[in-house]
Amino acid sequence: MISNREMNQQSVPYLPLFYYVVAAVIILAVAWLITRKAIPALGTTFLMLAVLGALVFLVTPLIMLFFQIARPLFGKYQPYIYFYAISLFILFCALQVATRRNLVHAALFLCLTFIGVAGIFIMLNAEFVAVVQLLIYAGAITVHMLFAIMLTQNLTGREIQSHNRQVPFTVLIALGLAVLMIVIFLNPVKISDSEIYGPNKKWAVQTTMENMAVDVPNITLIGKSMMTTFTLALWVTSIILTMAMIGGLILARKD
Amino acid sequence: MYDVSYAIIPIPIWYYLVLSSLLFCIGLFTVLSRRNAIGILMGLELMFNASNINLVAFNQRWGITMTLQAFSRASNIASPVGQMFAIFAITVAAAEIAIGIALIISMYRHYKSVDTESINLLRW
Repeated sequence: MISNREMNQQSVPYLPLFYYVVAAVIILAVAWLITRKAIPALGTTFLMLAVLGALVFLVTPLIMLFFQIARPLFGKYQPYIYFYAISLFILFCALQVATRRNLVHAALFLCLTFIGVAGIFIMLNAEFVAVVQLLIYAGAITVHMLFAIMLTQNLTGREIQSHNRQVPFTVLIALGLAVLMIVIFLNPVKISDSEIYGPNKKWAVQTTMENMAVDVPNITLIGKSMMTTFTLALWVTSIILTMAMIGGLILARKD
Repeated sequence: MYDVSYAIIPIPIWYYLVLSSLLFCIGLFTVLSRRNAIGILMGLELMFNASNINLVAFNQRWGITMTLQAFSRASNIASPVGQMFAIFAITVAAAEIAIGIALIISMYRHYKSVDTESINLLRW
């Protein structure tokens, strides 16, 4: 079993050709569909999704190649660049969820937000949680939302407006809460004699190496603790899921 | 061969906390300003994801310290407590959204629309 530390010390050269192959396939498929007139109109959402897809598939391997070439100079910025890229992706897609008038477009951007959050989980050494997030959120819940949108369409009468009249007030509230939370989180706090929480001016390693994930694969850790420490939580969760199924059936029954 | 000591430098935790707070506030704005009931549920899910990011970030930073102080004196324990919390939170959120959508469907069956501004039977 290779640990994380040993994997990082391998010297396998990395060629991100796979990304360009996938990008070429997608671009060719979309171009073929456009010539066949299967995509009706190039609306804003389509262009946004196309730009996002191009950024993900064409820019990411460039960034990886850049860091592979310029590693002695810029190596220490690599995790930060990845974090900024993923977090900008998440926040952009979340803003589209909040502001799109068409609800199906908002659901699609919600799916992209879930995928971005899964990327953040992988950066936090939580691979199993990332895959659970992809399976349940980006898989099941997105489809569930789309089915619900389909079943609750406004078939007759006026189209529902997408936002109510309290939007400016809500913007103020959300911005105020964001400012408050960020001011609290960026406040330096002395935890112990050797640890300070908060933004520093230098690129300091804020934790010691023992606080990183040790050489146990993530899924082994979760599997063992799920069966010993968290058994009760597991059983209660199974009861909750059964209750949710039964409750959903009863509530949505045709009566 | 290469100097990879940078690769396991973790990102300071407040990066993740700021990200999760921004995501939470975007979700809050979505819940408070959308008229469609399913749009409100979408904002709710954004808030769930923000709190899950918080949980896993705290686990990466302080998981071992918390386990040492709480459970034992061993020095080679990795604790997945935050990740377990996040997994169960994802599961319970999925169940809750299922119930929510069932409620919305029964509401649609009664009112023939899911506009939350026009549901005013119990209003003044």
